[in-house]
Amino acid sequence: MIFIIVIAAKARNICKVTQPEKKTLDCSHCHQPVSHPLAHTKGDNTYCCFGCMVVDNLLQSSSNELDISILNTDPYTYLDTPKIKEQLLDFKENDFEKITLSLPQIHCSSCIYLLENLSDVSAGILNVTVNFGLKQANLSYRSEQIKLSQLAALLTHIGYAPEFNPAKTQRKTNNKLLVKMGVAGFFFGNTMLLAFPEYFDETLSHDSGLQQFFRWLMLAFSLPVVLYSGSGYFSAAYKNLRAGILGIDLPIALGIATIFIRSAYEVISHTGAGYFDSLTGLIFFLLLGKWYQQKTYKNFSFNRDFTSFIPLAAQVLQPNGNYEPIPVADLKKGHIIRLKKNEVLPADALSQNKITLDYSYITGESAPVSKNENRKIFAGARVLSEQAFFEILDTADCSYLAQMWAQNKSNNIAQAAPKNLTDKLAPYFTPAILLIALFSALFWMRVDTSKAILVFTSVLIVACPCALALAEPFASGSLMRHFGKQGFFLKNTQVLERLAQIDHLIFDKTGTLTQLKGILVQWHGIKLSSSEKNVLSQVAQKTNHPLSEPLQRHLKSTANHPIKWGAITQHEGVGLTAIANADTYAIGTALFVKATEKANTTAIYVSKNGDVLGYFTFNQQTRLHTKAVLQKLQKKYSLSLLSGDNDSERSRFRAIMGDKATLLFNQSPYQKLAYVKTHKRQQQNLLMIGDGLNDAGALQQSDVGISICEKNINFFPPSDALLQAHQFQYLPQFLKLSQKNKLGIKWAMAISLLYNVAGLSFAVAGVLSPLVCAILMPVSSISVVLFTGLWNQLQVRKLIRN
Amino acid sequence: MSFPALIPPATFDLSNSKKMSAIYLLIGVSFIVALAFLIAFIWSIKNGQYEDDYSPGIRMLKDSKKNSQTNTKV
Repeated sequence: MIFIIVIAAKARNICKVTQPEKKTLDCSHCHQPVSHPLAHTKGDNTYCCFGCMVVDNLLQSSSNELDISILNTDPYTYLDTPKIKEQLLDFKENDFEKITLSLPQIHCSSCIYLLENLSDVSAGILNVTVNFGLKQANLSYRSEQIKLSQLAALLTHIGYAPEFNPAKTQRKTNNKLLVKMGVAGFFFGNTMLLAFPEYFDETLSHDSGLQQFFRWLMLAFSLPVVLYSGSGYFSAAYKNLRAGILGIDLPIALGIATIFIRSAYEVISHTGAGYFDSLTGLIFFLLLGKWYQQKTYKNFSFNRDFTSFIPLAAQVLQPNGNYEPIPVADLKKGHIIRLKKNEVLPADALSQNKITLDYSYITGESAPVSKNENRKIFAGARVLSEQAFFEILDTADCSYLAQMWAQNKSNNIAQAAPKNLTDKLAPYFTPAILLIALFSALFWMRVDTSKAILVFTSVLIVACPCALALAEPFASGSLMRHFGKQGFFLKNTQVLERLAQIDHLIFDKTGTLTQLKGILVQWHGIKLSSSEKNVLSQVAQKTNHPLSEPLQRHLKSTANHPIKWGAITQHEGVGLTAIANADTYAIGTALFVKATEKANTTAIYVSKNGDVLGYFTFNQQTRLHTKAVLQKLQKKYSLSLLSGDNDSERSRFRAIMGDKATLLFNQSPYQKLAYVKTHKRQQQNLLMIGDGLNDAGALQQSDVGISICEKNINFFPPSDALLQAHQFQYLPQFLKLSQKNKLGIKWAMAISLLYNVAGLSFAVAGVLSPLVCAILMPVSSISVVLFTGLWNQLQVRKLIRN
Repeated sequence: MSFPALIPPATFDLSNSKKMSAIYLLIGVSFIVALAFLIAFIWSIKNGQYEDDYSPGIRMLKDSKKNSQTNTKV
């Protein structure tokens, strides 16, 4: 039993999402290592999060009431519309309201402390209960004292911006399995106590009354285990048989049924004590394996809907000239809506004013896009202008985004569940066992007829593939936990199976191989004087070209001297000329500036009074170790790059990814999806790694889709796995480990088969006593579990820890 | 060679089943007690105590003077 406790203890540790320990700095409040993205500093103290800072300050100061009226509720005003609120609330009576909110920023004990003490900070909040695992909070409040919008603003103010999703995302853990396990474990323990006297105490046989009592009690105890806890195996075996599949459930069900019937017969006929302890133990161990395999990362939603990427409500122009929020589902053709900066367009629409958009959700193209009036804009576009007005063209569920999603769903159904090693072995297992049982029974018919039935059942009992069935769940389950510790989270253990078979890797460029933030700007040419830098910096400020912002940041250090400006003329699409301090600057494309030397990447050329000074190059920085990772990978796998961006960086990625790699640029989400589909038809096993919504289709269609996440690990497209960006360098190791895992499973299966052979030799010889069975069954299971655990530990240490 | 003095004589005769009758009662009682724990375990699952295994431990540590009032309100 000790190993169960060890597993439970380990599982507990892994449940917590381990934060990367890059710095050795500890939070001044909770003493957890401070990880970069959420870090805050105040005075001499460093905090791991805003929550810790607030709690620490609250502890040091005496007054802690917060004035909610000063909060900026603007982004949340739509929440006070009854129709929208209705969708979100769990419960409402008069002004008493209850709501469950997703708060992705929850990550430490101070977060819980702060959130659950919100009632001290604001009078209207009655009670807050945090679910740390799900990163959710249940809040009850009086809406007369604090409106939902104010509540949301308050949470945002203290650093926990809530995520709203009309579809209830509460995922329940599989309680039924736990109950079944509890019942099986309980009766297993009690049956074992009752079975022990039979094995060790001769005296029991002196008291036939007591012996009979024990035996009948064991029979009674095994009933709930077989009928309730083990029921899943019977129904699965039945379903498999009807579908014509010889699964692993069949020999298990056969074994369980045989043990139970034979044991019950022994008790009723007063011929023996039966194998009730083995029977209950078998079912308990099998359920334990199932439970161990079912580990899920509850706080990540791997199956997102497109609705979680678009807002809940939109500000719609009313006949009286005001804008009022209405739920997105109620948007109709002809509605005029208003969006503010950073809001996402919920439905396909026509632009009403000149705007700048971030289309990266849809196209993956990272640079902002400018659009004039009366252009069709697709849902999912994020507004970068201060204000934008749109005329809705169609309802939200008819948008391009929604259509893409619907298409994916229908396609995915055809995807068959992959066969794992156990399933592959099972079709041979059942006939083999039945044949052995039959032949040994026939043999005994000739020798000793009375023993034939006994031997036949003994074979079925001892061959019950408990350890065999445990090999896969425990091996995959433990590797999945190791991966979790390394920042690589899998949806389930089936993903591991597919990961081991990958032969083609497809990468998205922006945000996957390159970092989202940090465009590397470099100057090539004559050294610029500070006054020239000053002019260029201020020209960049005056234009709204996508590249002007990084350029300005690059030149930031120069002082802002006043400049005597002459005329500034914009030449649409090519560049601009500016007269500053009586010098004429031309800034733009090589052709426009008349430069002879050309850059091999995105660049802006500069000339002064007709003389070319040089050019700025703009490169997205690749992730740490990207080059090494890709060079390692190209030896074993075919590589592809699918990018939504233009092909200005083709040569750069050619150098990184090797000559054999396929590099495709200007890919729309549909093209990415099509690429995946064609290669799948060629029987390739594809791994897609992407980060944006534009990869969503391809991620779902590939055999394994991995989302790469930089900071907000709660917002990623639907996929099979989630990889934290700073662990990208371990990708080759992860792939290797999944293959090693398969080897480990094979070894574990060999071990379990060895035990089966040993058991069978007892059974065939006709000397299988309940004691032998009671020892063999748990010992084989435990050795398989120990082996897989040690195997994975060893492999992980070998490949990653070093 | 034998050491009769070292082997204590059997204190009660096991063939007499009356002396073991207490065990029926004991097993019955202990089973009922154990069953209560099983029911408690199932109740704790249904009650959602395994949904979140981190926050209750933290919650225990915080002062509850104000919270206990609000709890009764809810």
